[in-house]
This record gives sequence, structure tokens and C-alpha cells, in this order.
Amino acid sequence: MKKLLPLILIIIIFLNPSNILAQSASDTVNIYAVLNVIEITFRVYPEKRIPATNNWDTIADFELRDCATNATIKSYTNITVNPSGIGTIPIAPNDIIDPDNYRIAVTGYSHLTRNFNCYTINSTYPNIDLIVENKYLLAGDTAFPRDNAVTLSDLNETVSNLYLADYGSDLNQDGEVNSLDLSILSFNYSSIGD
Amino acid sequence: MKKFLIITTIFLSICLNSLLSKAAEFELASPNLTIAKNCPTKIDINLRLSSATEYSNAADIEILYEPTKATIIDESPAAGTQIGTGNAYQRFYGNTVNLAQKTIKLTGVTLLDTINSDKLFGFIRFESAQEGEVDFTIYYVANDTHDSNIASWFDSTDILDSVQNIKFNVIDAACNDNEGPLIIFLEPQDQDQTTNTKQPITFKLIDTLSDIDINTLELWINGVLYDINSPEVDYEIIGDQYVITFTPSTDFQVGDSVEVLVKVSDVLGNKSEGSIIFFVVEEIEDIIEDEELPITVVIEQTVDQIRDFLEKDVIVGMNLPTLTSTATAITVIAFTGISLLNILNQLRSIRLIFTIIGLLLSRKKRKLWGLVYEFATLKPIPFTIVRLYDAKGKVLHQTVTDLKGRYGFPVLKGKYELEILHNDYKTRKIPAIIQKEGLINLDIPMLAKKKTKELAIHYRIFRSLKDIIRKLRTPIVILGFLFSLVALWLQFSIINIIIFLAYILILVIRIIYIIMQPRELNKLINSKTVQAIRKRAIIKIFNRKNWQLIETQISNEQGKFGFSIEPGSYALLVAAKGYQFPSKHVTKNRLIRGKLQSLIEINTKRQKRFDEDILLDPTKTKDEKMASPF
Repeated sequence: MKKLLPLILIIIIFLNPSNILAQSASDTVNIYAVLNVIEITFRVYPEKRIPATNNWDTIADFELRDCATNATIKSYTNITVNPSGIGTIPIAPNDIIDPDNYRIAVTGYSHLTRNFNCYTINSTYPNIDLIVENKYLLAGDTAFPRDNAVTLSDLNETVSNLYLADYGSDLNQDGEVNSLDLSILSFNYSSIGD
Repeated sequence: MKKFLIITTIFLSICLNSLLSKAAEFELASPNLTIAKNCPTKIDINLRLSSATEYSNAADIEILYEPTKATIIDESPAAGTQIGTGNAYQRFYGNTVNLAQKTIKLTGVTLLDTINSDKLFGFIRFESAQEGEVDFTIYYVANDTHDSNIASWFDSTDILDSVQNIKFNVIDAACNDNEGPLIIFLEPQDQDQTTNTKQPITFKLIDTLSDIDINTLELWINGVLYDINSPEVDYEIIGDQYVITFTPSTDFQVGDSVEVLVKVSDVLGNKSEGSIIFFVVEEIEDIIEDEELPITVVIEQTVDQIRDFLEKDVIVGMNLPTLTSTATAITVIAFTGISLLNILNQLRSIRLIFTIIGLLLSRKKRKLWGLVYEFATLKPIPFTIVRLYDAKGKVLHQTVTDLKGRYGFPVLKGKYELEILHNDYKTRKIPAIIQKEGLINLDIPMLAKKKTKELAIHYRIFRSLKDIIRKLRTPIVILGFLFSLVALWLQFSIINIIIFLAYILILVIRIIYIIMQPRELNKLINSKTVQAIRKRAIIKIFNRKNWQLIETQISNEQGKFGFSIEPGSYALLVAAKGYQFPSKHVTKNRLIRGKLQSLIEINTKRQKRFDEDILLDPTKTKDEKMASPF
């Protein structure tokens, strides 16, 4: 009988799994941590540049929006986008971005605001490549104050800079404001940004 | 098989050529290249889009010249020297003559519309004080956007690929002044719309060679003659120019078109005349006018219809039997497709005939609703939200367009703004000024949000297809008919009989269409040469019952004109410089005695056009006084 006792005990343990689960539950450890986003990198292309490639520099405003309501949650302005279309946003230590899905909205200089898809931001160095959506930033909002629409005031502003090297009105960034820029403006005339 | 390959190769070559061609040109043109010094000379700046597949919405030109050799004559009342603008684009900017840089610059742009044909971009009037050569060179460097440019509507790239410059030889000769004074209308301009029933008319008279004989001024306003002594006419002398202002003593009527004709001579007796038509309207339509559809888009519906037809797998769904000859089978399949395109084209012709019949039978109805439609395809857009705001921005009405894209708001007199919203289209806001209680029923084109490069390529392809079909329609029908005959001979099958009969049907429809098609335009014909009179002429049509003026037209450069009129009896009057009207060849029973001269009787029975060319007899002397059309 003494020899059988350990075997019986083993069988009882096996037949009473609640004991085992209780033991497991008591071993569970919950860990909570705050993720600090240090830097966001994104890539975006303004439309109709001449030359057509590696000429995508602009000064952009970058927004994180609510995917459902489209309300702005975080906004970062005057971000330099290099000729490769890449912009980098340094995030201040006290600027907490909760890990979540965000809709990205980008406004180029003299461009309309453009909504992109929702992206998950859950790393310290998120890298968001917006060109995979095949959407370009639409140009033409040249007049101040920016009204996120291409209107007659934008046309007037652009023609006032004709034949000059004005950065705001040179929509195709070929170095001079001319009919090619007016053509872009004409194409987008009456358009409104997102 | 060999023949088939040759035909296929030619067909594909045309397709590729049409798709890949990219040609736009600036040309400087003048009738005389040898000119006398100190004599004004005009240079036309022509914009040529050699391929019908090229669409442009903006262009700029930079012309290099030597200011010490040529003095540019100012064509504008604005500050600084400016050259004349043409009709290529809606708006022109940056019009500058820079003496220091030795350049002439001009930029044109059209909003929400395109051009795809040859147009006058602008013109330069200059004179040279010294003998020798005078060059005008368009600054153009291949693949450079910092020179002159013609912008493609599709992708805003520069499609300018050639220029034609001009060189004059200035000689010491007497300045032969054989031109009358230049007449420039300042306000209003031709085809303008105004809401001002007391709209003053201002124009400028310039003659740099001889003095203007102001006493010869004849100002005809809607058939009423005014001269320099009329109380309504005021003038001011600025240098060698006269600025004339006409202030109406009685109001113009809303809805009227106002025809203005100015005749004047210089002291040498050189006559000149100029005319404009402007409209007194109830509602300002300027903004809408900017956004009217290009006519080309209407024509392109045909291509869309074909595309829709093809998408419905009509061709794919055909159950072709196996044919013994492979070559014949391929040929028949290829040409069956082409034949179907032709049949569709013919169906469109039938629809056109029914439309004409419908128009003949229907009465003009007042439009009770506006239409929201897609700019590119002309299709109505259902379920679009249309909001009406008052001047303070408060929403007055909101509605959703029905399945046919229709909407309408009853409104009182005032200023309003329409907002049109749809998820798939760009939101639009349009101002509307209502001067009389009624309905807001504007037709509103909408631009799809997906209007991107893909869409542009899509249109490029189908526009090319349209051109190819138009050019190859007749040879394709003939070749298709022959091939169907050969196929029938090789294989006497049901499908081959059907194809052969289809071609017979096409030919029958085509003949019926040609017979039934009304003439679009009538011509003015020189009775001596039996050639079209390629001069501007004024044509007026009166109702015979009450002698009310129905319409006035100016013939185009090919001497063509056309009136759309109700069936009835009319009297026609034509005035063309150097020609006598009515012609001696017109039978006496058709002549109607008018106050000053005879008119021709025109009778239309069922159709809304009269189908007749008008003969004019050339007069012997060149300076024959132009018969007054009033």
C-alpha cells in the first residue's frame, strides 16, 4: 500500500486540474510599461515635380488623426522633407504618443492637406511609407492664409510671382514660376483638401 | 495572311503614332516679311497643337528681340507696354515688354478646361525706325522648362517641341497707309455678360500713320445710328488716340444681346470697322462659364459608349464557329470588332436623327431643375448633397439629387452660395446671384477625386482611340466589307453571312444618315468664282411678319454661318465688304424690298435651319463701301 501511495497522489493531482490552474494563476505577473516614441520617419511625394524624381522636397505639416472621427490628435508643423521625400519628426520626451492606430494627414508647402490610411504606431522609431498608397500631395494652395483649397486668390498669388523663383508658387520646383505651375493650379482649381 | 499582317502593322503603327505623338508649337507669322520703316507691322503668335490628342491648359512664351531695331506698340490700356492677347486661353498674365532684358513675355491659362486645337496666343505690333534686319526669336531650348512652354493638361509637363521664328527686312520706302484706324473695345468686350442695364460702351481709336477723321464715326447700337455729335457719345483725345464713351439714354433690356458696330475712317479715307456683341443678363454666370464643359468632352461620349459596350462582353460573348482557314478566322474576329465599333457609331447617328426629330416636335420648356454631373463623363451624379447658403453663410435649404442628378431650390432675389458634396467628388462651392425671384437651377460639373495621372492616361488612350476610329472609319468599313466577302467565300457559314449582312446594314444606315443629316452651316459664296467668301460678313435674319430682328451673326473665316430658327418665313440680309447683296443671280420673286436695299426671302418648313448657300456678287472697286446691315 505504501508503495502505491505516491502513485495514487499523482493520479489525484492529474484528476484535479483546478489545483494546477490555481498554481499557474498565482504565478502570473502583469507588466505595465509606457512606450516613448522618439522619432517618426515618413515618406511622401508632392505631385508633378520637374524633374520628376528625387525632387520631392517640401516643408510639411504632419498630423496624427483619429481613424474614426478624423479629429486631429497630434500635429507637427514645418517638417523638412528632403528631395527623396523623407521627413523626420523628433518627438519631445514629454510628448507621449499612445500606441494605437492613427490616420496620417500631410500638408505640403502650397499643397492641400491629404489624408492617408491608418497606421499603427507602437515602436520607438516608427517608419511610415505613405508612397505605397500611390497618393501624391496636390499642389495649388499658394495664397496666405492657407485655406486648404485652390481658389482665385491662389491663382492671383501665383501670377503675381510669374517668372520669379518663388518657392511657394513654384509648384513643380523647377526653379521658376511659369505656365507649368499654372497648369497644375488649373488642374486642381476648386479642389479642397481633406 | 500577308495582307492581313500588312494591314495589322499599319493599324498598329497608326495607333502607336497617335498614342506617342507629342507635338506643340509656337509660331510667329506675318503676311509680309519685307516692310517699310516706321510702318506698323503685326506679328501673330500662333499656338499649334498638331495632334488632336494633346490637351493644354496653360502656356507661356518668351520672345527675344532688339529694342533698338523694333519699337513695340502698346496694345493695352494697362500700365506699361503690352502686346495683344489672343483667344487661346481664358486668362492672360505676365504681359510684359522688357526693354532692358530685350524680351517680350506672355502667359495664358484656362481654368477647368482645355484646348486641343490651333489658336491665336497673342500678337505683336511693332515698327522699325532703321533699315536692315529685325529678328523676333522665341526662346526655346529642348527639355528646358525655363524657356517658353506649352503645358499639358494631363501631367503639367512641357509639350512644346518646336518653334518658328520670324525675320523682317526693313527697307526705306514710303509708308503705305492703306489701313484704317485701329478700334479697340475697352468695355465691355466681345461676348461679355453684364447685369448693368445702363452699361456704357467705351472704345479707343488709334491711327499712328494718319489722323483720324472723327466726323466719319458711325456707332451703331442694335441698329440705331449715333455719331460724334450725338448727346450719348462723348470723347477724349489722348495723344493721337480718341477714347469714345457711349452712355445709353434708355436702359438695355435684361435678356437682350447688344450689338455694337463701329465704323470710322482716317483723313486719307482708309475705313475700318469693328464689332462686338455683349449680353445683358439677369444672373451673373461668369464663374459658371469658366467651368463649362469643353465641346470635345461631349464628343468623347462616343468613345465612352463604345467602351461601355465592349465592357459588357458583347464581343467576347459571340460564339464563333471554328473556321477552316486560320487567317480568315483571325481576320473576321478582328474586323467584327471594328465593325461593331462602326455599328455603334451608326447607332449614335440614328440617335442623333431621333434627337433632331424630337427637337423638331418639342417646344422649348423652361428648365425647372439643375443638374449635377461628372465633368469627365457627363454622367449625372445621384445622391449628391446640395446645400444653399445665404450671404451670411446660413444654410437655407439642403437637398439630395435624384437618380438623374437633378436638384432645384425656389429662391428670392439675393446672393447665395451653393455647396455640392459627394464622397467620390471634390466638394464645390459656387456663388449665385439671383436678381429675380425664381429657381436656382445651375448645371454643376464635378471633378472626381480620383482625377489623377491614371485618369489622364485613360483619357489619352480613349481620345486616341476616338481619333483613330474617326480617321480609319471609312477604310475600315471598306476593308471589313471586303474581308467579310472573302471570309464568306472561303467559309459559307452562318456567322460569315451575319457579318456580311451587318456590313450591308452599316452601309444602308450610313446612306440614310447622310441623306437625313441637316446641314450644320451655310456658306457665303462668291458668285463669280463659286468659292467661299473667306471674309467676315454680317448676316441678319428678320421675321417677315413683324420685321423683328431674329438674330445677327458674323460669318467665320471660312465664310460659314448658321441660324437655328423656327419654321416660317424670314428675310435675310448680308453685308460683306467688296461684295454686292443681293446677288443678281437671285430670282426676283425671292427679293423683298427693304428700306435701304433688297433682302432675300427664306422659307423653312419643317427643319430649324435653312439649307442654302448665299451668293454675293463681287464689286469692281476695292474700297466699295460696305452696305449697312441695318
